[in-house]
Amino acid sequence: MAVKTILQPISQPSRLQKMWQSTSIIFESRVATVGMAMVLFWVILAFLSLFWTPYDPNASDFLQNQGPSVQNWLGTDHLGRDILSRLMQGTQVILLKTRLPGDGGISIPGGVAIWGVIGSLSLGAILGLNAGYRGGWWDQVIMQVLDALIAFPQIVLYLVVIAALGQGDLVVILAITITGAPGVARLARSLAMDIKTRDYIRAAETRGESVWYIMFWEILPNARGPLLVDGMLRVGYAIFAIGTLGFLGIGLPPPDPDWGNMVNEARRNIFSNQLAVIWPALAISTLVIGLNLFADGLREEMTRYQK
Amino acid sequence: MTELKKTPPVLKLEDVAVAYKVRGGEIEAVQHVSFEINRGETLGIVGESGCGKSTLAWAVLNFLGNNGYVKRGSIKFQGQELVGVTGENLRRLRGDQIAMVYQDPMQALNPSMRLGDQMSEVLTVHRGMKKTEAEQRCMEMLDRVYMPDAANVMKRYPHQISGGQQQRVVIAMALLNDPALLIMDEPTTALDVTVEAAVLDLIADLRREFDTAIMYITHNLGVVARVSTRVAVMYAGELVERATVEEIYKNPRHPYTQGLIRCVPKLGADKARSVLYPIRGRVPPPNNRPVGCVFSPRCAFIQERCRDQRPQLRQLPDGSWVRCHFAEKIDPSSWTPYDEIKTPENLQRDLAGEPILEVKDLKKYYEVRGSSLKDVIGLGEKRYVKAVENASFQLTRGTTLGVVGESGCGKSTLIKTIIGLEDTTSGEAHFLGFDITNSIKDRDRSLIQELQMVFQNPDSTMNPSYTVGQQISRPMQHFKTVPKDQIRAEVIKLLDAMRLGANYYNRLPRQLSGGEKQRVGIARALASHPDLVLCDEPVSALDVSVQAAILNLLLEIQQEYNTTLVFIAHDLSVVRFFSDQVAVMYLGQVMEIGPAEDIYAPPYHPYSEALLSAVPIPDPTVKQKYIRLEGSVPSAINPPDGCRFHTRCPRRNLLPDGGKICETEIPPWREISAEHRIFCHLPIEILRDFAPVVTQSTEEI
Repeated sequence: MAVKTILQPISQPSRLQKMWQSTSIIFESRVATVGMAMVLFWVILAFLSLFWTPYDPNASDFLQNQGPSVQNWLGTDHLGRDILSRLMQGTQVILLKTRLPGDGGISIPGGVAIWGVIGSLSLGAILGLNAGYRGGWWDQVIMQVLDALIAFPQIVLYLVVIAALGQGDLVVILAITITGAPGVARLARSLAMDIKTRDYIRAAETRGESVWYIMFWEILPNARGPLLVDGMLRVGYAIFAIGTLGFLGIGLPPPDPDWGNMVNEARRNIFSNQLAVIWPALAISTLVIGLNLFADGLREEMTRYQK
Repeated sequence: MTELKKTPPVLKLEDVAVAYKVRGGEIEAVQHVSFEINRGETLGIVGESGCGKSTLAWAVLNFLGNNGYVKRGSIKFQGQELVGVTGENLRRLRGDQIAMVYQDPMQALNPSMRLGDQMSEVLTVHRGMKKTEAEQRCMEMLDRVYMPDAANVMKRYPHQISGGQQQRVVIAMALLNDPALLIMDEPTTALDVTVEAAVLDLIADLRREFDTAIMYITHNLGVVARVSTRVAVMYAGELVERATVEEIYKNPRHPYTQGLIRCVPKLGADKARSVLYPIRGRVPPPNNRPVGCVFSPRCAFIQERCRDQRPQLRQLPDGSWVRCHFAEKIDPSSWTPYDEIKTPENLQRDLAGEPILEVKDLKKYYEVRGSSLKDVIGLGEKRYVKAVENASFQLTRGTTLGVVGESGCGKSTLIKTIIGLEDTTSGEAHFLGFDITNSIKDRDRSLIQELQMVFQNPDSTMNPSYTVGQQISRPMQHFKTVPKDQIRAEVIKLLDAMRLGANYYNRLPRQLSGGEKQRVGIARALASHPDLVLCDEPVSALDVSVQAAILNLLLEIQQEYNTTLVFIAHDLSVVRFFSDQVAVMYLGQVMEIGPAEDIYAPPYHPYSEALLSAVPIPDPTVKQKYIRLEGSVPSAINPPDGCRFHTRCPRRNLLPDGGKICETEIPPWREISAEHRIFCHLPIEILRDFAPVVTQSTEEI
């Protein structure tokens, strides 16, 4: 299929064809296809949970610490809540919605992990492009600061941010942004340093274009491939981080169930009900592994395509 | 000759086809190739890029990678079939009896091993020689490739010797086992003309001395003329003509060969008196070759038969082989240019007109930072790379200044300084009366608009993320030269002028060929209607036929818009053809400047003379003076005192005292005429006495 689309005349492909062309690359790689299937599974569950969950995720309707049954497919937790419903509801905060502070209960689309990564991508790209393209003192100062930031253990950084600002979705986003930005900046910097040697950058300079135009209109579009793949990997890390924070009890606040917190709470009853720990742990790992496989496969396929 | 016929040919290819497996099928990169090479013979293989020359070389070595294989035919080496040989037998052959020299010597040598160790490994592995004995032989071999101070070189690492020397080591290494066949794939393409000339001399010597068969692959018609005894011309994976080197140049039979020769400017030809005729169209991709003759879509003599019947390689009465139905009937003199090529008229420019660019004593130094502790804290003595030293010239509106010189002599720095990518260290530069010694950031937008640049590498001249239309329209938006609603029309007008057409508007760079990308690069530079366009080797990365088209295009544009051009190139024939005024640079110093025809005729600066005698000329009957420069360009951090050229100057000894004065004193400018100046201690009378470098000889070689 993919080969066919490539061989078609390039005169004026429709928008649909273009989209197919850019997505068909995923199916060239088995790794990426498997990864995408795993991610899609959770995304579909998340959307489903917006309209329907088997039971109310926060209602203690059942006996406590039950194993899987016809009634509760994945069993119940220590408060007698349905684990499947809680797992489904838990995907929302990660992938689909961010709850704004205040009593209104207003949320914006895009999960905490997604916004966190968008944040670190934007901050990292701005810093990295400045460091890489301008060089000299800009490079020195920006990279020294970021290196200092990298030197802190990530978990300490999370604790510092949350201790200073309190719990909340936005705070977690900020924490992910700050810990993710140095890595993105390093990547963006190396890409910028490579791309800035090309003649089209010279052409822009001899046109007297501004530094910002060159960075964001000439360099960034050519760096977007590796940055997007990196971003995808980072969504995985972010979910991991949210899980960790939840486990420590300083993650996403209730009422929405949080996978990490679910593990933490079920941990106390691990000898009587092991499955309550395993289900959320499995949820976190499949989603993260799926994202990793997807990003890896995509990166491999993209670098192969260039050659 | 009769003696040679008795032994079997060293290499014999019969109807060889090489195919690569790719996604969704198979591509036959090479088809129907047959030739043989005898001992002591050099077969030059020429053709444009993508014609399958390198594939052929790899096929001989069975080095086609995982997806390539010889599909049909046989490759016999000294009577032994090579197709299908694998494993230990193949390994024995490679490096022992067949050796290969690649384009880039730096990549052929292992940077982490001493040269002596790398070289002797060939002997200890293939011949089982003892280490000391092997080293002795390596040393002898280095001497034979005229490597100065061979014992010392053996102890060095590859980065410690120059590019030309590296290539000598690679050649010496290839010759160590006394191979019967030497395959050379563009061995001099990455080298400067002066170094190239020395390496080519060496190759010719070695062929005579070792009696080796050489398969020499190149795209450069001049190089082939110099090294080959016979020439095979390849086009779109097929061999289209095979003849002796004299026949090919004197009497090319295939229309493609004729076209190639018409594309290349002869040394001494200029734009006022001669025209370059590019071959129309482009090389078809291997998966989309025409049914009949592969060259038919581009052939001027095409007949009905050519379209549907594939010609066979056949021998003509005079002994040359050609793949053309009508080779006997084609008369090259009856050839007429295609309509789209306008014969440029009125190209002789007046150098005395209104000056548009005036440069006086321009200097550009780069500070280099040392690595000692003193340097790090800023106490060390400051050292500079003197990239451009006292450049002075004037440029008249509508004329072209050609700048030539070896790599690292400051050509690019000079134009970067003029355009403002680098600021000036000292000196004056005025463009349209405005001072342009500052960096581009401090210049007025209307001034920036008048100075634009065309770049060398077609693959990086365009931003891969934007369409052709977006890239050409950007300068118009940026400088607001065209009202917004008319930009599209203006871009299409420019595309038409570049012979690209409106359907290119929405294409992305990856859908264009190298020549097309270069055209877009030129269109982008012209979009703001600049007065001065600086061209940094705009054609050197292109195939000859494309190069001819781009040169014609630039000439046409210059005529239409009265644009002034500064044109950097390392190909002296191209510069001569294209420029009105030429500056010869060496180590940042302008050595000679003057009208193009004066530079290429005596009186010469000794350096210009050496450069000219090194240029490979695509005509084996031309006699060239033999001058070879010793060594390589010295470092610009510590340029020689006095005349910068004195360390390599072959004419120094004409001065009293063997030219002591050259080592200490900066030479004066010798004014030959109002425009022609030479920077040399030699008096004008001696300079005038130099014989012309290139002479047409009528006698047969």
